[in-house]
Amino acid sequence: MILTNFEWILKDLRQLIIDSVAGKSKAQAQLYQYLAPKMYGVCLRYSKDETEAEDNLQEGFLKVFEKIGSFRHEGSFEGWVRRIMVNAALERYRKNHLMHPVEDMGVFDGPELNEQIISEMSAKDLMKIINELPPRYRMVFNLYVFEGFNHKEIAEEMKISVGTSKSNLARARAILQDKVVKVFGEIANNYSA
Amino acid sequence: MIKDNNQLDDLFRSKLDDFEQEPPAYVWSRIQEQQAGNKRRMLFFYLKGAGVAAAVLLAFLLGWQLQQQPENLAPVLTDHQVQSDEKTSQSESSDSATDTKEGTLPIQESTSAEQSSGLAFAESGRGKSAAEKPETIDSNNTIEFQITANADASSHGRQLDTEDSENRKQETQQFQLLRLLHLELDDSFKEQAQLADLRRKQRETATQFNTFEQNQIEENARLLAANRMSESPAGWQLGAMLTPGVSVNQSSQSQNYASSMAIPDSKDKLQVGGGISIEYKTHKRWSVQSGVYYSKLGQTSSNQSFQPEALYSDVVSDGALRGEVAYFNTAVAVKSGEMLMNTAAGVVAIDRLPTNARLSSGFETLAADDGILLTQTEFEQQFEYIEIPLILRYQLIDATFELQVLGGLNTSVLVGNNAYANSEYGNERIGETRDMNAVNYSTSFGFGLGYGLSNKISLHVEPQLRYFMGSLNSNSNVSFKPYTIGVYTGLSYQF
Repeated sequence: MILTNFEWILKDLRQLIIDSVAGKSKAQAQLYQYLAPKMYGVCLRYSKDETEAEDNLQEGFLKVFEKIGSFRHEGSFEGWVRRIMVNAALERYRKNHLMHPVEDMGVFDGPELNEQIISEMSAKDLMKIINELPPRYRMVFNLYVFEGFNHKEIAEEMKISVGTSKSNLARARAILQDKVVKVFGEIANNYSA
Repeated sequence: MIKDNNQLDDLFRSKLDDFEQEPPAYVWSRIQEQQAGNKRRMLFFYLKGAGVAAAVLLAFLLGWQLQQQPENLAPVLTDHQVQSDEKTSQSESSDSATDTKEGTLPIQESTSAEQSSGLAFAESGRGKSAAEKPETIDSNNTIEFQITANADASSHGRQLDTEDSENRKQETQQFQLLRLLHLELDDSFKEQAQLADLRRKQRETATQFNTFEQNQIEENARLLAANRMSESPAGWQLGAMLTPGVSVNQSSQSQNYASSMAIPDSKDKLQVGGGISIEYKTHKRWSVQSGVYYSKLGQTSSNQSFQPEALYSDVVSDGALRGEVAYFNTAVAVKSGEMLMNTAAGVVAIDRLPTNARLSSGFETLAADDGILLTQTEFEQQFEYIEIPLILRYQLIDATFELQVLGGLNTSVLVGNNAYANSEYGNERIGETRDMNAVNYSTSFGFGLGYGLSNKISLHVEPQLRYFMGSLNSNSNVSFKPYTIGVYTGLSYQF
């Protein structure tokens, strides 16, 4: 039943968008229903916990319904919504963390991570590790890895230098490796010969 | 083994890029709530905007109306003509033989005047009088015939003659007045003088018939406008109103706040306000009203009385407390030199202890309150507002007795905020209510009954229900939204 509902939604996404522009609350609810789980996933990656992700999702969707009239039906609607969510996360980050810069640390070589370990980890475990990253590292890692931003773009969006962006990414990767290893209590070296 | 950064990125990407999780249901409710809130804010913003726009429009209309005043010359002009017309008809009836002479003579005089001033009308006048000359000569020469056929001649010939002569008289008088006006304009406005010159040239080129017709059309238009004005007499209406009203207090408080709150009195006090209203009739049935009003709102609180006889019957001898009345006490917070009392309308900051009250330290620990006011005083908070309404009225019955349905928005500005203690020692001011909003908005709905005492003055009785759109107090623990039922009574003057 739900599946057929979503099939219908996909088919009539364009109509739903048009109705949402007209302010029809039923269309907006359906649009939310269709996109919320994906976008909540995006928001979770940018947040320290679920509460922050919920706030981010809420702000993002309010923005979506406010600006939906400016969507030109040219690119992917989902991509457009996702960009709004990322922008909301960036906005939140700028508001909360710009005044508290994270101490930059040198890149250090953490324990090595086996491919097998990561493939065995669930998405939820990995999400938790990302959540635990310091805000700026998390932001840089997300923008670089998931949104495909280059360091120059990240530096502009986050009002930091390109060098800082690079070092933050390296640091984020190192922490992630370290955490994964710790969580599973296995030393990657064991597998190396 | 992962040594390559890209590999790590890819692995995270593959696991998390399409990660989905159902958000909690309340997120959608919160989105909807916020959307509704935004919509309300927008609506309110538009309402305020509409209010301001309407006020500007009213001011503009008033200015325009005052600018239009010189146009009122038109009816005066017609009055003058009617009088002169009557004169000519009187003289005509008194002497039918000479009436043609009398009728044509002034025209000839005036045409000669026109000639000297170089107006095209002179030519036309001459043309007409020339055409009539044979008729005049004829009537002089055949007196006998005229006597015998007096009835016929006077009924037929006079009719034609008087019509013509009347019209000409009208024309010449108009021109004389218009010329006077032009001369005045020439003195004061040079540009106008140039325009007038142009107009004169236009007239010179126009034929006699056209000028005549044109003037008739102009005059008819003026008469029509004057008639229309007399048909819808309203335009502006200025009124003085007295507004006795009862405010029904509607309030809610947080539980913590209410636990140490003076008991609100349910009795509704009659408050009298008043003000000046100005109304503009935009259409036959629609009108817009504004004005300035003064109004009062009140909230009374007291301690509930009880009979101690019933309560202490087992410890006090019979009859010792008979007829005695005791009061529960009011909790007050005493903090850093301030004494604060919670009431239904907000926190009263007491700066003067009522004469009959004593302050005691709290016997039992009530949240945040460490004082108790021992008194049987009734407390009264009074709020005075200056109100500017913007009311739209629709006329259901428009006659000597009129009935309107009305609704609109009021802006209330707080101008007085006092708290009093009422006891056997009289009415003492004890302080004021904290956190009262300086500006509030309310909606009005009601009926207007009017009775025309004369053409200009009418009596009005207008029952109105008014409801405040938000709490009058900004304290988050209190929502104080009274509604008032008032009877706006007064006189209005139309102009």
